[in-house]
Amino acid sequence: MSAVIEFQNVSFRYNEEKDILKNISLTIEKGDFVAVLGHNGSGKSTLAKHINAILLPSEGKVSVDGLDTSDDNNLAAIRRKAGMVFQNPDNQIIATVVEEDVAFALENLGVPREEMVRRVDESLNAVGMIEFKKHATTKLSGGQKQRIAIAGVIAMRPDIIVFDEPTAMLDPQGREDVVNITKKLNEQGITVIYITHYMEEAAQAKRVVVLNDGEILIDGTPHYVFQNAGLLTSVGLDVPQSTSLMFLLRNHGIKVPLAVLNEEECISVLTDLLNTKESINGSDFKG
Amino acid sequence: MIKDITIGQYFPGDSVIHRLDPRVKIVLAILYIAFLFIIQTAAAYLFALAVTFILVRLTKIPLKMYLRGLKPLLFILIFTAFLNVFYSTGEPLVKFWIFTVTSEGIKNAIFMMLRIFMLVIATSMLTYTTSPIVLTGGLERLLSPLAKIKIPVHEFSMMMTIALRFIPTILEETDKIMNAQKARGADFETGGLIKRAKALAPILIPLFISAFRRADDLATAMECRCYTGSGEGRTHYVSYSMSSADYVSLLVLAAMIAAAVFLNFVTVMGF
Ligand SMILES: Nc1ncnc2c1ncn2[C@@H]1O[C@H](COP(=O)(O)OP(=O)(O)O)[C@@H](O)[C@H]1O
Ligand SMILES: [Mg+2]
Repeated sequence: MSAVIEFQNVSFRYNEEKDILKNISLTIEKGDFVAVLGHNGSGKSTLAKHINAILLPSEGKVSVDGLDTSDDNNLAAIRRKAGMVFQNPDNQIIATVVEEDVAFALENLGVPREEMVRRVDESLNAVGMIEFKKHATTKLSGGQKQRIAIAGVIAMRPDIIVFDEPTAMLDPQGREDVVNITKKLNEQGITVIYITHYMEEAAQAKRVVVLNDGEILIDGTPHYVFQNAGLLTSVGLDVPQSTSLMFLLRNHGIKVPLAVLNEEECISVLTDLLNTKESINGSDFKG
Repeated sequence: MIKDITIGQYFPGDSVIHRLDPRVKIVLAILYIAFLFIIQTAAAYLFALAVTFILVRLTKIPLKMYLRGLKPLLFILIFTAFLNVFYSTGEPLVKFWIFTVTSEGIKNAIFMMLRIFMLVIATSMLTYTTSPIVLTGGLERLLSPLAKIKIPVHEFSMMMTIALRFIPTILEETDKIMNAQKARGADFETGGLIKRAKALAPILIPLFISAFRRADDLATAMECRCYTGSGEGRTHYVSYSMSSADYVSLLVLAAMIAAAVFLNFVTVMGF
């Protein structure tokens, strides 16, 4: 695997008061699925906006596929390579008709019309929204709008997609649809950076980076990161419920692995535990 | 509620007029207005009236809708008619006090009223049968040559497009905020002007804050999708192509104008 995004000692400040990003170095491999966690104001969105040159580092360097984001000549290429989906579905839809919105980036890139027509259909198919092609964008549900926003990004055929809390304003069904689409895109080889505050969503990534106050607190596989439940809770993050349960059991002296991410894993651990009662050595455990 | 306000007054449909190329429709509307100003004889007015009614029927939108557009103009209509009746020079018909009614006056008044009447119908027809977004697109294409002399055609068109896109969103939000304030006991319906204006502040302030946030988010989202702010090098997804109906309607109108100009010329020459 090769690096597709590189942050080298990146610091960023909006004004002189405070560094929002503090000397961040981070390498993201091609085809990876990286979840970014962190409490509100920890700098996640600021970090994300560095990936496609919406923000430029105050110090240090960001490169995308070898292109320096601070070089103006690279701007168009970088924005095409790295697409971005935001939190509020209403504020990122530009056109009144679905197909026209999906075509927006292509119009800007000067893609010929025949090619545009093909790519719009292809992108709408990829997010399962082709039957809404001619619909008014304002009449769609939050989840559907978000899928249109994703289609608008896919149409550029990007190598990287950055999702900045795409499910924060959605109902459970909309969340599930969006998460499934991101996973599918990643399987097709697109590098995914996925900012979220839902631990369950982060647990599905290949790598989790936790930001705290503009610094990387911990970085590794979901199993590794969620093992450090204590550290995460200390910076105000909740670990997934199943991991939380394991953490509590450990505190009661029951030996269970901490890196349990979903319900199935949790059930299997608990069944094993109940089958081998010897492993329970805590006297205060009452079933 | 407030959501029911329809901006641009577009009536979706599939009539011949609806299906005309927006660029052609804009040109036709302008030419038709020119035609209305050229014609001078009663016969020509009758002809124009007939054409107008045929067009109204073709749009399949009830005449009632067009007449609604005339309501706000009723006062001006009556006022100009009044002036025309009493202050035209010519053969006096009736004379009382300082007023003189002339046959020219009556004729001018009728012509003026008919002209405004048809003018309003023609412009209403353009917006009734063309969705605002298509109208904007058509206007951008029509005016695109002006970009060469540094007139920001693309920028204006993009502003219009975004405004049209966000009107429903912001109206919806206004509704939500109003309901939220009502639930807290705010009263927008009673009291004098000052009291009502004051009651609006708790609506306008959150609305403005949110609108600025939206604008900021939207600008970022547009940049992320490679928007650079200039129309240069952009292609268009929506393509307009002129059909035979477009060419025919342009030809008919051109012929009408030519005929009107010719007839004026003939009258002036005193034949
Ligand atoms: N445009 C801005 N100007 C000044 N400060 C900002 C701006 N945007 C964000 N910030 C500040 O930067 C910090 C990090 O914000 P952000 O990256 O949005 O965090 P997150 O996405 O993790 O919630 C916050 O303290 C926020 O107040
Ligand atoms: Mg954020």
